[in-house]
Amino acid sequence: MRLVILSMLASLFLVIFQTSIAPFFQIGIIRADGFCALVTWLAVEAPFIPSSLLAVLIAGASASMASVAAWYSYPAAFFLAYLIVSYNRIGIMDFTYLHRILLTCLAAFIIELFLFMSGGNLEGFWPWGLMQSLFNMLLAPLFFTIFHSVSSMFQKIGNLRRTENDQETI
Amino acid sequence: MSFKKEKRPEIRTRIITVLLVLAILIGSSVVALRFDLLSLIISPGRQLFQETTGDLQKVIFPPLATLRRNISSHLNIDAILEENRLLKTEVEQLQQEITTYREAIVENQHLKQLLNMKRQVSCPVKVANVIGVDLTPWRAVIKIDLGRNQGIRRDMPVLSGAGVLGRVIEVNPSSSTVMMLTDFDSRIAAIIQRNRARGILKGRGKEPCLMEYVEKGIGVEPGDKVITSGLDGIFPKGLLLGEVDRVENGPPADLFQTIEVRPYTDTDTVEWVMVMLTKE
Repeated sequence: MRLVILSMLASLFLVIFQTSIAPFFQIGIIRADGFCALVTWLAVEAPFIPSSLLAVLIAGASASMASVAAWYSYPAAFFLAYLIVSYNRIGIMDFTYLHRILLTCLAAFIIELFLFMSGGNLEGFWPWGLMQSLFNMLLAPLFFTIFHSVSSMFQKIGNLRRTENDQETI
Repeated sequence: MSFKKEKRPEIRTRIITVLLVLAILIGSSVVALRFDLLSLIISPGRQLFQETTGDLQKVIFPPLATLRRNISSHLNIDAILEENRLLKTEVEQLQQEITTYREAIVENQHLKQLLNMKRQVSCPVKVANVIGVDLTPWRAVIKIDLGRNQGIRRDMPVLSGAGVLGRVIEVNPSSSTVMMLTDFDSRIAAIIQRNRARGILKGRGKEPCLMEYVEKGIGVEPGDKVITSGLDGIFPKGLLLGEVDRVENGPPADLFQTIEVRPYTDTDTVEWVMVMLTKE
């Protein structure tokens, strides 16, 4: 549930940020994109768990509503990226920060490729899609920090409520 | 007795001497004034003296004056710092005012362009602000602040001050989505104004648009104006689209020539648009 709420809030924030603020700092078609980092973060924090999967689909649906791309493009792209990143995450024993960043690059690569393909503009993937993926990888640590902070806040609130309920029971 | 006798001649001598000197001075002054001897004797000497002392003064006085100025300025450093601070504040305020005025000038120019464009179209229009862009960076789609409640409908043409911008593709109660002519999915029926060659203007994102299906053999030259043909039922005929940038005939097997068209509208910097109310 925590992941679902986080995904909804993050999606709302990212849609507003990426459609109203980030375009002013755009270079060509390279724009700050936090959705790739969100999908990676969900896949890394809770791989193959129904709530994280639902959170990814909610993020996809939110992104789809803010874009004229085909309605299935974002949910499908995010879902595919989530599966691949989760699969890779399970295989890594000593998970470090560098792994997170590289997995974000992989997720961004998959998402951009899928979006270009589904939009009928595959030739645009080189070089812009690739550069966007690399740019997303560079921005990932910033978004990870934000997501982790918000998630920790939710966890603390959840723990507090649980403690209060336990005290009431006693 | 002899002492007193010696003193009397001395005093008398002195008195006579003083009187004599006075008489000479007065007499010479009267004579000098009467015959203007001062200008003959004293003036050249005075001038020589002034010249000599003046040369010395030129060497000595300015450095001393500078030194005095520096010393007094160091002593008045607090006053200078305060004045500096006040001047800096005033400069910042003035720069802010200049920025505001420049913004007003730019807005004025844009709105004048829109007004000029409005005079060229025959149907009612509404001016809208751009409030966002599409989430997908390579899509040339924007959002405007007019919607169904303001009379906007799907497929209404949207213009900028320079020409056609695009068309409305999605309508919400108080906002709408506009696909610009440079979007990959944009297709507009167009003609070359000079020779009336018909084709379809296709968007290619950041690249110049392509005018497709123009047969080979029809002379199209760089600089030709491209306008709407009105055949798509969306855009009225005669609206400015762009200018031909490059023409390529391609391989002999191709039926059509490749024409690159640079739109008149700068889709990266558009802030105000005009929606033509062509539908009920």
